[in-house]
Amino acid sequence: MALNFASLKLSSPFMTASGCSGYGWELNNLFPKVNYGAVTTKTITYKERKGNPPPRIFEIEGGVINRVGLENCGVFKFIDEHLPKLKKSGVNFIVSIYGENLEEWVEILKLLKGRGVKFFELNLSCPNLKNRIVQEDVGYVRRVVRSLRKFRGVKLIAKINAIHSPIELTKKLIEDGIDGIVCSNTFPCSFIFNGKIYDGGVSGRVIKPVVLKVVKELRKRFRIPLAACGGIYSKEDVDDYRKVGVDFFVLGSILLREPDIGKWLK
Amino acid sequence: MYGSQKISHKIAKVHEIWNICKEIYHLKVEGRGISRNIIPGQFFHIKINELPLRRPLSVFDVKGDFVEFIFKIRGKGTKILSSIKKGEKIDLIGPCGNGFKIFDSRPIFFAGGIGFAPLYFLAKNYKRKGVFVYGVRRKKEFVPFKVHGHRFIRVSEEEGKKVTDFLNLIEDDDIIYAAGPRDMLKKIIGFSKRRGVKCFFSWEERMGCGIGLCRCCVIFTKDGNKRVCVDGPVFSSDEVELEWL
Repeated sequence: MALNFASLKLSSPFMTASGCSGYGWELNNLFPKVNYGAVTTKTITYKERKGNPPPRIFEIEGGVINRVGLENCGVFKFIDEHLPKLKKSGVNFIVSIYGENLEEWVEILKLLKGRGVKFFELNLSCPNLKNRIVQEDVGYVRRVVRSLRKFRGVKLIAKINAIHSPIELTKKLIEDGIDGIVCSNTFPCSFIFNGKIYDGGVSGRVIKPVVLKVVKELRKRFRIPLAACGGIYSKEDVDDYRKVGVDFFVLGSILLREPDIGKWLK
Repeated sequence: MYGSQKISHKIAKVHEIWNICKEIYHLKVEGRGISRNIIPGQFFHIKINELPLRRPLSVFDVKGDFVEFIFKIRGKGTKILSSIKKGEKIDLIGPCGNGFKIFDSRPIFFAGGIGFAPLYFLAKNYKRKGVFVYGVRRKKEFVPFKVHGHRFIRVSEEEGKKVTDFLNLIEDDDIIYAAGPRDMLKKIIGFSKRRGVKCFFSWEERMGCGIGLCRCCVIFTKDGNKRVCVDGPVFSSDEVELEWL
């Protein structure tokens, strides 16, 4: 059965979340028989980013907190080193991108489009950036999406979180021509470790009830292609999301433990 | 033995688990082909029930279809692992990481606490013989395995001696291998830099996937961030600056 998520033809409704599957080609090298509908790369920025110093990951009851901080090699190195491998691997892929400002968003997209990338995930919700979650500034987000929308032949998928006015935001994004929504990114959180306070993003089972509620509401209101991301660890979790009308599933923290889970989820 | 087995996801069986001493356990698992081509210093990433993250354990020894580990209870995951029973299934991903390189020089091993595990495995397979210094905090934490063929020095802080008290045994042409607590590693790395002696150390960091995908377990090096799980856990002291650690 061929599935279609924002014009991306998928052989499986399960996709990998940005940040959990490297630059996209590695997972396929390690587990070639695991068939994910599509992989999403780490978020690619214009310049290389070093990310936060370790520790970068903590475990809580039913969840994972990360504070990687968008470490990535930058768009130029991505194009030189990773994109060829990604294309060669033959997997469907979505490139996650993030710009520090409007010009960067446009430039990154232009560069990647020039190399044949067609599917983009706009990371509007990284919790590990200083002082802001991009999607909170709806006016700015709209300017970004409208500017990127001017490029023909690309599909734009917004990665939003479920806790910063996702419904109002989605309405605006649709008006501005977004092609799909992935909900949710990790939720911003704090964690105390060895007496020190760390900020990060929480994911895993603990966020699933919140994401379930939000995707249910989104599904009720909008016909936009929608993928749920939040605490999918089992067949039951998938069924829960199906029950509220979601047909596409993005696997995040589960991949840290079961990188080949695609073999068992159907 | 220096080939490298491709990383895979396997189900093995617990052949034996016993409480060596204090909170330290010896775990022996059995699985077809599981022990093939493992390089000392490599680890397996072990699933602990339904905990969200796996736990990395260095390989302590291999024999036939068996892989052995030594681990210490440090938190929830290792506590649960310590209660696993003989015959139960155990879910592993591995072997992960780069492992130690072997050279022709005289090796000198510095193992602190549970850092004994990877260095025991390395020393056992090292052709050239040298010195093995093994230290623990309290005497009751010694694991009862002896490294044969090398001069074996065993010390405890309780008795007033530390591993790093033996840095004077290092000669310029030696090659240093170290695994253990960070403070100990930093001292040894500092020494190797001052004296210009080659040194390889096994680094621990809080880890996510264990296979290079999530970039949670990084160490800062002269070539930028490296991933402890796939670029390491073994690094050379030339790659790092002390103030970064």
